[in-house]
Amino acid sequence: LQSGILFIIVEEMSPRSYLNSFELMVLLAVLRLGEDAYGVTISREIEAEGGRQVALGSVYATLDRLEGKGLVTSAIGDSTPERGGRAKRYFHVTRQGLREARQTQRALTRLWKGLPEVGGGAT
Amino acid sequence: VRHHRAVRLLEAFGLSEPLIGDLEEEFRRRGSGLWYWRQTLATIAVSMVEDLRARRWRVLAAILAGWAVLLSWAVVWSLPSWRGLAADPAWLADTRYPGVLGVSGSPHSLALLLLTMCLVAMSAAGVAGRIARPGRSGLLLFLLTLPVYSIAACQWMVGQAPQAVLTFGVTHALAMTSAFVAGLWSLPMKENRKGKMPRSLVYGGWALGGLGLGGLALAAALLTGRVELIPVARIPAEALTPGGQSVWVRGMEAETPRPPDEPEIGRIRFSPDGRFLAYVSDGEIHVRALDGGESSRPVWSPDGGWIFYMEDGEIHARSVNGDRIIEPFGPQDPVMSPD
Repeated sequence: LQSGILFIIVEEMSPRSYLNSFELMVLLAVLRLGEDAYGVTISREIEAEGGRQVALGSVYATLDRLEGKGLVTSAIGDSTPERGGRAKRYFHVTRQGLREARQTQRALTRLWKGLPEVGGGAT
Repeated sequence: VRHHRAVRLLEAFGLSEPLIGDLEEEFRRRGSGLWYWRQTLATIAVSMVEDLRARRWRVLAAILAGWAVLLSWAVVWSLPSWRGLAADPAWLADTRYPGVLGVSGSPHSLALLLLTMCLVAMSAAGVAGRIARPGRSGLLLFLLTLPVYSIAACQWMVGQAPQAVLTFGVTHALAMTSAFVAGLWSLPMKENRKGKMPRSLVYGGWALGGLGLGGLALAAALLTGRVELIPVARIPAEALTPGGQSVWVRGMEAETPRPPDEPEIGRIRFSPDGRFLAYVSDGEIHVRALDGGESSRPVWSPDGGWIFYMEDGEIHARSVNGDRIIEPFGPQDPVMSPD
């Protein structure tokens, strides 16, 4: 049934705008961090707020996918000695990324409102 | 420092500099080697899966191209056998060797061909994920698999007829290599970022690495007894495809081909005077006249596996390949019809 609901979300929105939960978490973390969003801070943010340990590799894989969809952009930044002299890659959410995060949030909110018995409707 | 090995591994797999930098930065904060290695291995795994996912159609094309080349090779190689089969369709109806698999040419070879193609496909899929970012890992893989492949090849060669080794070795190597090269060509390959390794070497390394992987899988199949190579000299002529194949692979459930069963003595009887031979075939009773005198002209048994002849007034039976002789039984034996 749950996959059925997800499928309806996909059908309602354009296929490009569908974000899975991890993509949404990464996107929101990048938004929260603002100018300081790079691999380490993003994964720390997800660990702190999302309560789960993440592999840096999967964060990067998700960011690459989001960049491919045009939801984030990235730019190579400074390098520090504690990074072995390697440059940072800063991420920034695009206007389209912001729009799609909101769309996903609205769809999820609507769905939660339909489930009062599990505490929905409070979002 | 311990984790420098992990950094080298990450670099070899072509992972981006910012990602390696992030891991390094986080490692300094946490100071846990276990965390670092776990992250390294997870990152490599995730990046491989992502690469495969992003290039799934190209990977599929590579696998199909590899299969097509392998299939072409198999067809060309087994052409004499297919021609022989067309000339002798009765061979197909012979069910005495159900488990015998030919590398090509026999009707049972299809299963083995599919098995080989699956091995090729699996190897291709395995290497294809890293093709877009070639580096030292290609060479590493090659160096790792080459000895295994060589050991497997040596194992096959022990006890093989020379012509079987030659035919199998050359054909196998050519088929596998061309399958992989074809597979690899259909994948786009970016320039090596560091530009240290010539393109041809990268291609060659991957092709040979893939060959080694295929060999490794086949060697595993051989070592676990899933398939077994037997030289042509040990296969009876009637089990060979018309047109002949020099290399055969036998299924596990297959029994060693046997000569025809014991003659149905009860259904072959000589007349009391030893001048006639009666036998049952196709539900009918046949009678054949034998030459008189001390010895007679040989007579074939209905199943073709035995020859009967008279010598010194006694009947002898001898199997066609000469390895079994039945004690003489005389014409004085009672003749009894089964019904």
